[in-house]
Amino acid sequence: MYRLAYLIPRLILLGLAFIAASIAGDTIAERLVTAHLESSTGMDVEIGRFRTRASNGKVFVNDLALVDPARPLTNVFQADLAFFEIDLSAVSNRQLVIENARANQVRLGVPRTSAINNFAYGQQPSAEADTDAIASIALPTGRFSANPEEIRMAWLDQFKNAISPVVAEPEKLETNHLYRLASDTNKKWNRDFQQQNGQLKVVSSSFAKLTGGLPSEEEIQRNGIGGPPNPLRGHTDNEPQESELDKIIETLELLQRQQELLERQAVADIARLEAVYQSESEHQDQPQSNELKVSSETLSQLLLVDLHQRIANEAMSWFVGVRSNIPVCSQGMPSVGETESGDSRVRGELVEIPGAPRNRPTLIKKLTFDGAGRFNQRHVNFAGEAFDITDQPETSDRPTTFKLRAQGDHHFVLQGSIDRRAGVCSDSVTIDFPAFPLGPQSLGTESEMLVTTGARTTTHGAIHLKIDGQSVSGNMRLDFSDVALVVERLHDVAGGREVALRLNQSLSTLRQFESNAVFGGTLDQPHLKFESNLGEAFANAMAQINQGRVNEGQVATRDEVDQFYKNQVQPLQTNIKMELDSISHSIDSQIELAQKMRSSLRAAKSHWPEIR
Amino acid sequence: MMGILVGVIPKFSLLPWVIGIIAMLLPLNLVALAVTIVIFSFAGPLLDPWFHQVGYSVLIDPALQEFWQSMAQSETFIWLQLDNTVVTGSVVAWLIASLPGYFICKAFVLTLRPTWNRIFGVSAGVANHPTVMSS
Repeated sequence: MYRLAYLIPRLILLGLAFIAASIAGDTIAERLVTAHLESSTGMDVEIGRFRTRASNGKVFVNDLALVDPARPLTNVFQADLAFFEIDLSAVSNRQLVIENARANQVRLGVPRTSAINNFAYGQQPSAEADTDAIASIALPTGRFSANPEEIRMAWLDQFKNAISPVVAEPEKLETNHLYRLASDTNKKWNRDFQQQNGQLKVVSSSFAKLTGGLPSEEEIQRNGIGGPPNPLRGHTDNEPQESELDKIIETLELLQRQQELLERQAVADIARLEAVYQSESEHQDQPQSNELKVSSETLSQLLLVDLHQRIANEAMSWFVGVRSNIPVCSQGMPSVGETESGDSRVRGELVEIPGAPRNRPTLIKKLTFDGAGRFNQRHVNFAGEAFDITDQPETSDRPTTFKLRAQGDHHFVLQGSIDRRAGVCSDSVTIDFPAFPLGPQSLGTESEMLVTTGARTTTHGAIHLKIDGQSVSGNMRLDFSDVALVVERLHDVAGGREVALRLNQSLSTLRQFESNAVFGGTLDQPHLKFESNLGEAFANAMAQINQGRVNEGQVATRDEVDQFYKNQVQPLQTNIKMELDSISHSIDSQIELAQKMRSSLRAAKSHWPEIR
Repeated sequence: MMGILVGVIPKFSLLPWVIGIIAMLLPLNLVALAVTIVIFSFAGPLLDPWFHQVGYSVLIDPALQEFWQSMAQSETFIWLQLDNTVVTGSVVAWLIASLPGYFICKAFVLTLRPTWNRIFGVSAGVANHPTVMSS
């Protein structure tokens, strides 16, 4: 009886303890799960409501939130409802294996309205605040970047003296052979005519002076014919004058010979001018090629580097953000013998004992989720599945894999894996987007070349990103369609507004282009190299435009030359001839007159009888 | 003494739960047991640095490696968490302190019992109940 007296109350107490434990089981389980998750992830875990069905191992969690340890006002992960189906057979081995899990209304990087200690369940942040916060997730990585100044300078350097002006410039005409020859010929003939006229004028003046002191020809004729000449006149006075007249005639004859030379020279000069004109005409008629060699690669860089970096950075930040938010990726269980992440809530250390069974990993075999987030500044709803999520990935024989389909403003399929089996963080993701509305985009730079795309611009392609430790690799293929490119601005060195207008005409038929990029570098300093046929299209268009300008310039130059020939060369030829004729005529008439005068003088002298 | 052991061992080990149930089945003063468990559950973490030192020394002692390896072969090892320095340290510390602690507690109880009896008017027969001394 004595033994029963103390045994029965204890048995009753034990029974009551078990009943209390079963009643408070959810609370106890919630505490256990919270503690386990916190020790596994190193994050504060909050659970709004926790319900279990011990009979079949099903757990329902409302308002599950994992708080960012670095930012207590941000939940790195939040789900309105989570459901877990636990493998009870594994629990006996102190292992938590979740066969199926589901998380509804998942959001990443959601801001909290209170710090962890004051968190009020059910207090949901606004959708706007939600999305803004997602967009501003801080990334532990560098960003894809290039030196825009270098690209701009490389691009502008190509246009030095390469773009042809359409209008023939006066200074260019001055370098024309015909112009120079005509100018030289004109100067030369002016000088020769001046000299010839000057000499003629001197001779004419001498002749006029001489004839002023002599009787007129009629007088000489009359006297010589009508009566006996005055013996006191003429003979003695006319002798030196006759001699002077001879000199004048000689000078005039000399001028006449020079004139003949000039005439021959004039014929040669006119013929030369004609020949040069013909040569210039033939030269201008020949098709000229002034091929503008603009590097299509540099053009692609100038136009697309910002867009590619933006898309790559968006994909990279999204992936790295998701990657760092997955608990198994950021922190696993500490290895045996190490302090558990310095978490003060975990007491003691585990010492590795050979042969001792280690803590079994927590394993979620399949997780189905849906939720909302942002990609490329657009809101998207997503749904997907993840497999083999574990807190000890190094013990797992399979990597964590996931697949996600996003719909809404964007439609894309994302699949990837997070592999930590070898102890190295090796993650990969592939994003396929069949039709991604890119909207109006600005390509290039304001100062060098600014090109805008149409509002209906869409792109489709795929991004493959792989991160091995700190090393980044992968590629990105983008096909742009309905681009409707408009060149808004173009640097004056590259032709300015006029070439921009012609480019718009030329590129109006360009509806699509594509690009291929390759990722490299490290997480801290990632870089991408890409090539696109857009640069080639622009380069070809610019080369055609430049050739057009060359042709137009050629025609303009031909017109200028023709005009110059008609207005300057032909009158010059005519003037030379006329001036030569005029001088020749003057010389001839002077000679004729002088000869007549000399004949008259000689005739008059012959009438006198010889003085003996 | 059983209450102290249950109180100081970290509760993620199965050990305090098993010992607690056993203690409840033993002829001990349940109130004293419960009070001791509560007090030492809060006081235990304060002694963790010391338990850690003791447990770590014991767990890495070469002379005990064979013992630990044989213990580790059991599946219950993982439930008991004896590879945790604080769990092992608190158990070892309790084992070392239990014998002198028993006599200290006994002397303490025997000294205070007359005063206790006078205040609460407890008869000598009831006051000599063995559970009072054993808690």
